[in-house]
Amino acid sequence: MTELSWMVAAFIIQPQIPLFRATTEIVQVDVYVARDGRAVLGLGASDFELFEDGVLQELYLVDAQNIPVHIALVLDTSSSVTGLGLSHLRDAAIQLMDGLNDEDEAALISFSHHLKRDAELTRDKNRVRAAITAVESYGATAWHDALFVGLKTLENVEYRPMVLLFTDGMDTYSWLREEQMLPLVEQSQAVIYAIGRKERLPMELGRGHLARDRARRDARTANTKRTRLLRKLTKTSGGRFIETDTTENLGPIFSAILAEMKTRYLLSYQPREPIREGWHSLEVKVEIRGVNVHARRGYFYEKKQ
Amino acid sequence: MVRWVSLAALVWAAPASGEDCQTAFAGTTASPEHISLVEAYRNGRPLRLGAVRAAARLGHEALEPFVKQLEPARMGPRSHPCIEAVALLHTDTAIHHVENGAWPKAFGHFELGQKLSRKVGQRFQRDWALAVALYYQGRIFAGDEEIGFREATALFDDAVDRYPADTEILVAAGAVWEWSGSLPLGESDHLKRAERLYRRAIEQDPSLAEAKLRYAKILEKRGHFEEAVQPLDELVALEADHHIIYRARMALGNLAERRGLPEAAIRYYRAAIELEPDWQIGYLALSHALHTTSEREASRAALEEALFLSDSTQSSWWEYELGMS
Repeated sequence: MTELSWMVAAFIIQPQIPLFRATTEIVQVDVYVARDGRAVLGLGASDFELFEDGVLQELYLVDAQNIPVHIALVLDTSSSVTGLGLSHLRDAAIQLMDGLNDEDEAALISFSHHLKRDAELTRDKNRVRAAITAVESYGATAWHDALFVGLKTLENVEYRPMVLLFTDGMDTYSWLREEQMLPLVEQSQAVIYAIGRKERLPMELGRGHLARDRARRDARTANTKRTRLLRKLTKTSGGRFIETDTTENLGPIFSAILAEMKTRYLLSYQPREPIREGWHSLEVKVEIRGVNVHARRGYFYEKKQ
Repeated sequence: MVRWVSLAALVWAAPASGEDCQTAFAGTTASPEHISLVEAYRNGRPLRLGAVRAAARLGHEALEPFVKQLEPARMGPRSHPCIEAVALLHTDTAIHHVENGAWPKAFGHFELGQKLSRKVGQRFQRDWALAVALYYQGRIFAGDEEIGFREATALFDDAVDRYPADTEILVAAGAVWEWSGSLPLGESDHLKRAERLYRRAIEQDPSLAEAKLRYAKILEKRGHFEEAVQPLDELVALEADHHIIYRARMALGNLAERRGLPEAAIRYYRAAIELEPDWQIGYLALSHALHTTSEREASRAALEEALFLSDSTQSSWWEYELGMS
């Protein structure tokens, strides 16, 4: 998938999947449908409506469960994730590894102010587990930069690329600015799940010397700012942002994300119009009352230079 | 190396007078043991934690009463080197208390150190104020951000008033305000204060590379992208430290991106990498700039280079935050 931007793929054939010519430009959209927080299963292609730039498309439903997930774990290992917190994070990540299928692939990127790819994208889960066990915490927080690394790691992945980002503080060190993040997410095909631990102090290195009122006010503002950005980025990608007070919940949260990944639908279509360069908005609907549909809001198409 | 080791430099800089402290302390309430400690401290060329070393000989608990009795009112010596040694002993004892979280005790010793520093020469007073302000600045990054910021700015404000043409003090003071104003929730007024201090430093010495870099970065943070280019262009023409030139090239790259000139940004980032090929952030910036110009393969290659590198202390954020020159 070199000449096309994300999502526009020359589809590789599997027997149960509708046949496309290798030269045809196909758009895939990874969708999660939930009601009351639980996945809605058993839907068929006819249950979905997908509009690209307002035009209804003819859909094929791919059996997503038979298509491997490619997941980049992007984990905050700055100095504020230490002791039990680090232990919870490691356990949750290993639990997620245990739940992946043999064909699924995973990579590990850990970050503080320094970025590390501890494990390249691989089917060898033991390698990733070993890398998870070895991460240590230190330094400042640069999750903007780390998310960029996660997205780049999945750039050439054709099927089901996903980023799972965990961060527990405001970004204090990234080279990439807040306003540079949305275009990166729009240009990527990855679905992003982000987990944010609520900020405890306005500056993550605090030990409690700050005046309490100011600390509480600043922490609220910091949370709001970070939450707003992460919510926007994850929503744009078709994923979700989950906020937690404590790292003790990371195990159940990672498990819930894994379960969500396994119950997503993969819609596929050949656009009715020739694809022009630029942004294409997407809207996915399910004609069932009371359901929430999580799907990316569009894709960016760019011709090969 | 972080700046708060500057106290070591102070100790080394203390003049080694021929006058011994036994004579200087004659007629005071200081006991021979106290005087011996001061002598040892003055002559021992201790490292920053001289007090800790002294305490290792005496035990920390034993150190406290010694130092307490070396108060200015009781001591009354006339010997500058000995007063300097006592001031430093108090200062290092204060640092020892900070490291044990005993702030009230630390404040008391810092106060005595400051009082003593003012009994001796201007140079010592100035160096003491700068070193302790930098120490407090260092505490900001060691987890004591509120105390560190409050005390550092108080000392710097005083030092700026007393030494208005001292460029080292002007730049160091500006760096604390810059740090505060650059926080995600920082106040813009702090950036303006930093900008004024850097501008004053540049007026004093137009060849001051670090001041130019910081001044340009403040302008950038305040959205004055075009204005920020000139000081950086001037800076890269100077024969300045590699680290500063590297940061200037990175800043120029960032400004080029902000001004919609990604190709120029790529050139600046490549030039920065040439200077410091082991620093990660240059490759990351290059990778992103290439990504935005749709050079995806080259972008990935640059990122691979970034991820190959281990963390470099010198390239880290604290080098900039704590001052580079």
